[in-house]
Amino acid sequence: MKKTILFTAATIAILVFSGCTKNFEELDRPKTTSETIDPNALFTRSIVTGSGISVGVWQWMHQISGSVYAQHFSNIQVGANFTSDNYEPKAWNLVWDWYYARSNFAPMHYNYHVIKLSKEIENPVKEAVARIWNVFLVQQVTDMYGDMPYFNAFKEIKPAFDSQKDIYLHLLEELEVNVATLKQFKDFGYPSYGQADVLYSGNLNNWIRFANSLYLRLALRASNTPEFSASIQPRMQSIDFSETINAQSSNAQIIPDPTGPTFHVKNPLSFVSGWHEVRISKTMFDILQNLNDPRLQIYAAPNVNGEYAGLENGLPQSQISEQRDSHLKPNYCNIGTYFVQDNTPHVLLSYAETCFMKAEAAHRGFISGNAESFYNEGVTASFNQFGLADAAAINDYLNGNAKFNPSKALEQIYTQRWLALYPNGHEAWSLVRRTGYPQMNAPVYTFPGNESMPRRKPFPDAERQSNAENYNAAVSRMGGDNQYTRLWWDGGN
Amino acid sequence: MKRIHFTNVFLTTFLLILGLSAFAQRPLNGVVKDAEGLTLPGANVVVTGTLTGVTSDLDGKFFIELPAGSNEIEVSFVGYVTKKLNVEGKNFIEVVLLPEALQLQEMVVTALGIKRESKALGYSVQQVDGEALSNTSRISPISGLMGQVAGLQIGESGSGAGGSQKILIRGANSLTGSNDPLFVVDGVPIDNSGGSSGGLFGGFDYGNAANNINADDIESVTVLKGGAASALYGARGQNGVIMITTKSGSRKEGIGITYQTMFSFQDPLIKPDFQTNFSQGSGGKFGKLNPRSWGEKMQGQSVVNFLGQEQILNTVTENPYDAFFRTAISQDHSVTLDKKGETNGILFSASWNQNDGIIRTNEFDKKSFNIRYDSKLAKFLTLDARVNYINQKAENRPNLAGSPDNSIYLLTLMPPSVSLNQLENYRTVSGLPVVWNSEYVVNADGTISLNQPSPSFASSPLLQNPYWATNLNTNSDIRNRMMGFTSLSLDLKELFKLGFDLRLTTKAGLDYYNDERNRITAQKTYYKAEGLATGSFSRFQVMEGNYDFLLSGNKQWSKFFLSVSAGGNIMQRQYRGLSSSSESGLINEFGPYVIQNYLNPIVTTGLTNIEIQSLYSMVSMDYRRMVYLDLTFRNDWTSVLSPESWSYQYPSISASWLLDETFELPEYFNLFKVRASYAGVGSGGSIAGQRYFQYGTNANQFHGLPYGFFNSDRPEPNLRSEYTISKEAGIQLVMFGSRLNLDFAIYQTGTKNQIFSNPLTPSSGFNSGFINSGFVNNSGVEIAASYILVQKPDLKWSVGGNFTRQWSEVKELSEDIDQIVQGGVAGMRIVARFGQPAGIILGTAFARDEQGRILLDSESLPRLKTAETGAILDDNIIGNATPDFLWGFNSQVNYKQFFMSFNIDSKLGHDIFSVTNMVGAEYGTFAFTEEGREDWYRAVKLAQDANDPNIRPQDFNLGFMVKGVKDGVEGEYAVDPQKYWDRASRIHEAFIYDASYIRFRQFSFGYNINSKLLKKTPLREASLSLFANNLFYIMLNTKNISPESSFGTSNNLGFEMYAYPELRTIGVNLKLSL
Repeated sequence: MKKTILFTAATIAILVFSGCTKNFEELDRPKTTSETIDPNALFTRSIVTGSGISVGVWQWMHQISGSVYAQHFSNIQVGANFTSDNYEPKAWNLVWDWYYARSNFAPMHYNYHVIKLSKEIENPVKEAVARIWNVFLVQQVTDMYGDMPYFNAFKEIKPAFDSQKDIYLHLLEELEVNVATLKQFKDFGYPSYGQADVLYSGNLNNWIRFANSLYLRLALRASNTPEFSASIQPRMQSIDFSETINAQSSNAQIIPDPTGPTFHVKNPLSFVSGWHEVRISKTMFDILQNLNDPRLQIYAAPNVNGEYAGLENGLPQSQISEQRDSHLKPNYCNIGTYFVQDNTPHVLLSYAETCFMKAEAAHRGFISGNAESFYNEGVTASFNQFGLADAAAINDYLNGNAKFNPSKALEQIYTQRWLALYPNGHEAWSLVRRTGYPQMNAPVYTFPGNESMPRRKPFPDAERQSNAENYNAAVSRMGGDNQYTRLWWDGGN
Repeated sequence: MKRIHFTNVFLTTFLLILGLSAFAQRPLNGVVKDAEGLTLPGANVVVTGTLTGVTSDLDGKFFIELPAGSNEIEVSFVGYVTKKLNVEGKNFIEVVLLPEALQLQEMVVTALGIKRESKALGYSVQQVDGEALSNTSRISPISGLMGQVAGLQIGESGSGAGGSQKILIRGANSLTGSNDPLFVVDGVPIDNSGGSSGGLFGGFDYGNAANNINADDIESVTVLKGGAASALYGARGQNGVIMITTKSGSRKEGIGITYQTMFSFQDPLIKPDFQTNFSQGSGGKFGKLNPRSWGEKMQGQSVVNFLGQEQILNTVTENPYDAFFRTAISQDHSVTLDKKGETNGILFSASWNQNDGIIRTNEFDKKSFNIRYDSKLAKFLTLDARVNYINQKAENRPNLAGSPDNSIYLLTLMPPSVSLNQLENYRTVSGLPVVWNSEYVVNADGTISLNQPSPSFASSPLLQNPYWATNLNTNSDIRNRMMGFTSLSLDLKELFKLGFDLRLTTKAGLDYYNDERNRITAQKTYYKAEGLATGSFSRFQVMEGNYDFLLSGNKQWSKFFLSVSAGGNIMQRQYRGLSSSSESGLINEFGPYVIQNYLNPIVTTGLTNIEIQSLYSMVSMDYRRMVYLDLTFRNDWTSVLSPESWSYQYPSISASWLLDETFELPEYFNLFKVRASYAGVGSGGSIAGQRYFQYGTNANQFHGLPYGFFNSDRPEPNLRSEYTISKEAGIQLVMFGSRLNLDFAIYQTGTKNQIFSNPLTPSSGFNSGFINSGFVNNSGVEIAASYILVQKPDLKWSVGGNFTRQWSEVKELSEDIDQIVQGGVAGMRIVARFGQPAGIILGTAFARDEQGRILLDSESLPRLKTAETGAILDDNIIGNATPDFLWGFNSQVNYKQFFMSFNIDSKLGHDIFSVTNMVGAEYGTFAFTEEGREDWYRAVKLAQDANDPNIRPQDFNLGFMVKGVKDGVEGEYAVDPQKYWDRASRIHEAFIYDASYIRFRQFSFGYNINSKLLKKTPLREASLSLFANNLFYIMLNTKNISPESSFGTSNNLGFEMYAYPELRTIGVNLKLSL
């Protein structure tokens, strides 16, 4: 009896239970998300987050690193995050994390999926555009840190670091290949990203221009390496540099969304200026004043007395703590009002910068053309970009202290590019690192043993801790992981 | 009770002969009483070693003739401990029999609700009487278990009315996941999620769901510690099980009516010691806009403050905690009615609990209604059912951790020269916040206007007016919860007239709750970007159903008992949520904070399902009630794993051996048990949908365009089930007429293949991902002892203690990961590293030479430990968050109508990192930052007066004296204390404190009104008691914070960040029964 009952019960139970697991997979499958998606909405996110417009990354990439290293700004805020103006060394966690992994930001990871999905839907146009965008993103990161996981990033839990040299050479190839693809398929009727492409609204010709300007940026940055003359310079000859960014309308830029749902899509400079964390650097002020440059009134807001004054870089924290409200805030210049408007474009790569790159390339004989006319075109483009359209005034300027002087051509071209880049501190810092121009002033106070301008950002703790083997390989290849370890294009390995 | 008396027959025969040979007899009179002094009729009195025996009469009296040479009698009575007495030279004797100790006969509720004799169990179980909880911790019954159970560790989060606790049984098995034990109420597992979400950017503590239970409904709480105890609950029992048995109708005559009420008051037990002498400012100078408190000494001078008013600076006399917080008051009322009839019993209870927190706007209100009904429907069929409805409402739970609305943060930063009454008017005429580092003017009518161009919202540091924070940035939550079960028990033996016990029990249990949570930051809140209002309005419901059957049969042969059970369970859990939120501000600034008045509302829905199916069986047997053996086996199928791994099995075995029943042990052994158990518990984890890579969408993210997104955790489709192994061996002794109770256990537990979300290297594209890894070995020794010091009719005094020594070591980590980050804040982390104890604290440290001396830089400030590259090392081991020892001591005294008890608890051998102290140091608000200030400012003055550029302040050797090695020379160097603490505040090691403590945890004193007095009233029972919780620390090594502060209730022990103060409770309890 007992056996019968137990047996029956067990049989029923087993039947009931084994039958029930059939719906387990369906039960567990997420109901509010999907297994695939059109890449457009991912691409929008990748562009916006990758543009670095969010003040969340803008501060780390520009305000408290590039912008004070390159002396666009001087710091007047106290706190452990605000000591880069004194060259205090630190691991740069946030920027790396932002580009690779930060949940809901990670532009490189998002773009990786955009490329993957556009391949799946066999749309060569979308794929090529995303791959060009990828070049922009990767260069931003490698120019800060040097070696980085590139070829296997997002594919493995612990991807190997690739050398900056290999990355650069591959990025240049990517630009060549994808410009060719765009040219081949742009009129085949493949749907572009359309409005989801918040850089160029689906205009593929502009993407070609952007790619070619980007090519110049990469090539020139690599121009002091042995690989440049060996392989890059010859390849440059096949690039059509007439198809570069050639007007304000083809600037690579996005317009902030002042009514957007989060602060990540609003103009970061309006926050920074409201917080009074920076003042115009004395270095920037002096250069503008010496050139009698009308951009001073655009770049800087007058102080409480209606005057312009630049602040020395690297004030010690104790001095800032004491003088911030009483002296530094009122007597020095905040960021100019042009930059803090709701709709001020956030520029990634401009017509003006393209002209100065061409001027340098022409002067150094990498491309054909006249350096002076590129220089003059660049100054004009920069003035126009900031709303200075008076041709006579530009003409005066180009015949004043800023007049092109072939004997000082490179210094002038670099200085003008550095001016035109404002407030893109990160690119300005890269320029200063490569060229040494304009000359930086020594900060008032620097951390002991850190007297000169940093040459890179040390790797984030997370890679050192969770990807130790690959991290160590990269560090030994680069010859260290501190802020004075040289990048490949800066004379390093 | 059958014993093997090997020599009994022989001995008896021998004594019989001896007895017969002695004819001389003498009479003995006596009386048998119990401990209460009541006489015991019908007790057996036997002359030891003879057949001579009598029974006591109706008055408990007896008369017996003692054979010559016999001087010993044995007195026994059912339910009492048999006593042997030497009666040599006595004519009269009063025999007091003590009831067999609870532990001997105690029935404990074990897994699956099966009642077992405690002594039969091969694993450690501890039961706590519900009364003990309802007397002292009626608001959060769980916290009442603190210090009562060996191996049970409860951490209070100190997070306002209705907050939660962190509960650990025998240490943390899981490195990053939940270590919460499973809560089972009347055999039905309930959802205990919800606790704290005290993240880095704030959060609230919504309370453990288990605290929703009305303390007065609890009959008893059983803590099942070992794996064998919980193996039958499967996955969710892998961290132990806390079983709550609720009361059922038991009153046989009339209706039982009990009314209980409690009033209590709560105050912060530990308040920071603020500095009172130096004003807002920097470098010894007053600065009305400066966020720090390094200004000049306040000695009657006059300044213009941030309100534009003249203010005389004077030493502060009041601690801002006293001014800002109020005394919390709570009251609790409950009524219970119960009735037991011939075939059925019913119990009804209703309770209302109201609690005003120490923050003036924090209120909590809970109502609970409960009906329990049991009925014998037929001879073979029993019904048991319970429904419990809970309605709970909270207003303005405290903002925790790094929230800029956290009052503790705001008070920690507030300079002594600013007083709270300057901030009480927290809004300007135009609705802007009044904060003490902006400039204002006070208008003639007392209103305040801004006196600067515009406030800079979200400026660093994120200062905030504490009154704005608590009055305008509000939160509220409402919970409606239904819990219940119905159970039918079919007696198949009765039904089919079987020759053995066979019973089928089916049970359906449901736990459903519906939560509404709203949170608002007001328009123009100082720390919000552009001052835009934000709002989050969410609704979610959780439903968990448990459906089980259990077929159990048992049969007793003459010496052998066998019980076999087989059962199954289906657990279905569903979460559904809908939330709308916005960070874009109000449409109508003067309108209400409702979602339709927000710009850019974002709506999200959530829907997850988890199902676990289980089959299990258990075999229990014993031989002559001397040796017991339990075997269990369970198979689970879980929906959250892939088909290859969703089925997993695990066994358990436990045995116990009663030596006292086996051997002839000395009389003073009442119980001598040795036991051992081994158990495995599998688990599939509890994260639904984690194995799929998925894309989702968010509308309107950039110029109206949508964004796509994907998983923020890296999915891992091939996870395997976790496996927890626990081993235990122990000895239980009951001795000296059951006065001494001693339990000794050694245990070892650990979970292999732990499923958790581990930090990944960012270049993988994810910050975290689920993996199988990690094995923490927790081992320990537990001793629980109690002793009845005095047992007299009028006086009973007992003491008890428990002691746990625990060791915890990370034994395994997968090759993919080097360490597991369990938590952290401000750069400091709690991690698990291979070969290290779990919960080591990593952070920045002082640079030291080989002799351990602190190295100073050229400014005489301590250097941070760096790598050779110059990079600051932030992964130095600077402490350990896991306590080595836990112990508790308690004592109860009953004297006549009075009763008194107290309880001491202690944790020893662990550390805590304090952000509060770190920030108090940096900002110069804590008293310890006063050291050296006056001296330094004098040195600065002397240096100025010297008027010589070569003379610097540090040359006078006045100031904060830093001990260390500078340029190879050891010495004490004078520095500016502001600079010192500025530097030190970047060294985590400087803010590690020994968290060891001994605390006078609980005290109660009461009076049971004499039953004689009550005879004239309808009352049957009445008692009045006074109780106090967290009275004081006997030993305390932390500064300004409680050693029990925590960051949240998940795996976040070992550090605190602006933790709310631990509260001292004093209250009164009244109980009336009809």
